[in-house]
Amino acid sequence: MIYLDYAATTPVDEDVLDTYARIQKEFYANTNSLHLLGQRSNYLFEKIKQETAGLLGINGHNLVFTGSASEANNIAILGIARKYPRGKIITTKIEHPSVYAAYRQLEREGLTVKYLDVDSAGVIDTKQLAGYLDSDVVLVSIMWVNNIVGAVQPIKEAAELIKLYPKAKLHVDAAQGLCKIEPEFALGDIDLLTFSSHKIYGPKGVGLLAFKKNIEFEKIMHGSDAQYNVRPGTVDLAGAAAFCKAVKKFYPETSRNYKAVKRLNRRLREKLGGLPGVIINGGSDASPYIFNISIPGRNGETIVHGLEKDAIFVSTGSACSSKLKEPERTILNMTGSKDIALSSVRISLSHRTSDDDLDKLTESLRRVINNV
Amino acid sequence: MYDLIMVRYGEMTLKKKNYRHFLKQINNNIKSKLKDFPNLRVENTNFRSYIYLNGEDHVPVIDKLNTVFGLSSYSLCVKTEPDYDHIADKAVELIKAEKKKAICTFKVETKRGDKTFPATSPVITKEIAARVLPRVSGLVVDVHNPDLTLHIDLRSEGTYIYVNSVKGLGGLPAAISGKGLLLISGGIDSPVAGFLALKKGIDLVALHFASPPFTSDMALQKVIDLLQEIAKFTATGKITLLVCPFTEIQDAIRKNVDNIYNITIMRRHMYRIADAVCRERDLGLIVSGESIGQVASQTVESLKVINEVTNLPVIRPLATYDKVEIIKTAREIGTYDISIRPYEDCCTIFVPEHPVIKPDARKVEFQESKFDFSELIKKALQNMESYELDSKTKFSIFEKMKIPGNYEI
Repeated sequence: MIYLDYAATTPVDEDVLDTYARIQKEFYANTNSLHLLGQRSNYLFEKIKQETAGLLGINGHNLVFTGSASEANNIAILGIARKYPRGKIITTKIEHPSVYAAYRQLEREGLTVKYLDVDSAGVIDTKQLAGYLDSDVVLVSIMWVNNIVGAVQPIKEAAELIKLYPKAKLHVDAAQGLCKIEPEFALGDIDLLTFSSHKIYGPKGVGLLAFKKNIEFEKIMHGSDAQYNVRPGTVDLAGAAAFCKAVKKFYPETSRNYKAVKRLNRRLREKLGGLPGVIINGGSDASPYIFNISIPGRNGETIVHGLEKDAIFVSTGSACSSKLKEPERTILNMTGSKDIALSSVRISLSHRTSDDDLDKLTESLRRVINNV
Repeated sequence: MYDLIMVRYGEMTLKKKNYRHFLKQINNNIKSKLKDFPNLRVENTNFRSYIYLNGEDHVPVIDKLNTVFGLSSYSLCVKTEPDYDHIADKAVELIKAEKKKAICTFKVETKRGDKTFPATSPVITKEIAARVLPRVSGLVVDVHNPDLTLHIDLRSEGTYIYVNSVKGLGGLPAAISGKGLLLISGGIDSPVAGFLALKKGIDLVALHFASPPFTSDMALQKVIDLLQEIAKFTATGKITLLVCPFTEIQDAIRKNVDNIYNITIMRRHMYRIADAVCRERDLGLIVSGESIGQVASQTVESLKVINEVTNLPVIRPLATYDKVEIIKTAREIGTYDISIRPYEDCCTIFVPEHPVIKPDARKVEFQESKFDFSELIKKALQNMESYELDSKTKFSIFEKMKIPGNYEI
């Protein structure tokens, strides 16, 4: 079996799983309970937050653990937009559905949202952002690394522009960047960051919202005042511990793994570039972890199932929206071509991927193209 | 991007004859706070320190300087070559990084310490302003009330430029003014009082009254966590916590005196114990977080009756503060979120429904005479526990407990 869908999710790491199981057993008390066992859990929770923040260089942020990065995105976006209902909002046309759909919802509620275009490599133009910014803007969401084609957005330049407008906060969905790319910006400079545990070999069901301590939200969920009044519900201590463990294990390896995957990506580019009818989507500056191709005239899903026969697993679009029979939004915005967008296939790599895996993929894909 | 931090001293510069003494202390404090950064080189002059970064990131260094009392402000400087092109290039880069508004007014100021530079300060100022202006969008000259000022400092050992300055903590160098005893309950006020005492150079030992089982280990952990925040501001980064077992005294008060006097008499006992601790440890004064009128025990009349049990100076930095001001400082120094953890402390248990607000000294003395507290006080002093807390290593009573569990992730 060859798994090449790491951008959708990763298998949980053994050490991370050990931490998860141990904390689940040893620290089962509710972090909100007043008794000693509860406070012991709470103490550990505080420690986990501190350690995670320290590793990521976001000591000035509050950390809220959620059930997913999608939830974290929703809390950030709806929470801020509803706090400042007269404010303007800016995002991109290629955000993850959990960001994009949240903004669509806000539009239905009467807010004005401006969407930044992307070029053929899937990258926004900071000049357009500068044009949209004014003193009424309260929130800007720009993903760090796009989940479909891996386009790396100019977060540093965007942050510098947004800094000139004290009311505007920058929200960065960092799910596809963390532990994969060395950020060229300081994570600590970003107002709101969202992360996902299961993209970095942690368990599913754990997301993280980190926000600067002075940021206030309108409540979008109601319940206890747990986690800074932002996210009620019993804290998933084991999940938080597992996320921390994953960051601890993989964040320091970012640069090394990047180099390894960059090499794999180059190899794949050479091999697949030679196949008839294959278009490589996205620019060469994109994250090497994500490799997106289109075979115009073919259906992306057919190719996925064709490869599956050889026990090779890849995606159409993003796993979060791939059951929809619609052209892939990111690629449509990059290319303007429905045909390319409908026939796209995402191959996402890991430092654990081997040359042999890629060679087998190439052979299998050649067969699929010839036969389908 | 930055090469040097220029640090200016604060109030101590008003001192005359003993200025050297202050200077020595502040330089030692700066050095000891920055000892974890091996690449830094610190150069002290009479009214400033120059911290050469030698490639270190400035952010953690500034964070550390923000725990040093006696500094009025800092400026982050960029080193450049002493010619117009280089100065202008670096200035553009610096202004782009520091500019916080879309439209931003600015001016240039030049200090030519190095007189070998072949132009006078006003000429340099004009030349650089003319070169920088067209290269940064939204920049407008305003020499009277600029949003940012670009300083050019031509010194013989190098040319430095910087924009504006960041406020430091102010105050006097840590540990210059002797030692005091901080009474700390776990509430919002006492840590702030401790911080303000440290700000005036008073080194602190902390005293907490614990009344188990009415107060919990969590309440003690809260005090430990508060003091670890406070310890960041001490000269050594460390602070000693004394925990006084107070249950028996509180119990005796509850059982023997008219309960409307509970709080007054409890506080008198706290001050008696504090007085004894100060004398034993050679501490010159007591620091408390009382604020006039905040609760029944903090009215002028109450404070008078409570204060009568000690001859030591009791300083109450928050006496004239409003609660909102106290909370603001608590948030700034990072103690607020700890202080609002919900555990009972010795001041919140056994509170009568209607405590006396204007106690009469004679009546209080009469109530106290109904029971001989001296043995209990002696016992409390003997059974005092001591904790050495360090801001760098988190101390947890949970980790010391006998419940299995590994806190390492």
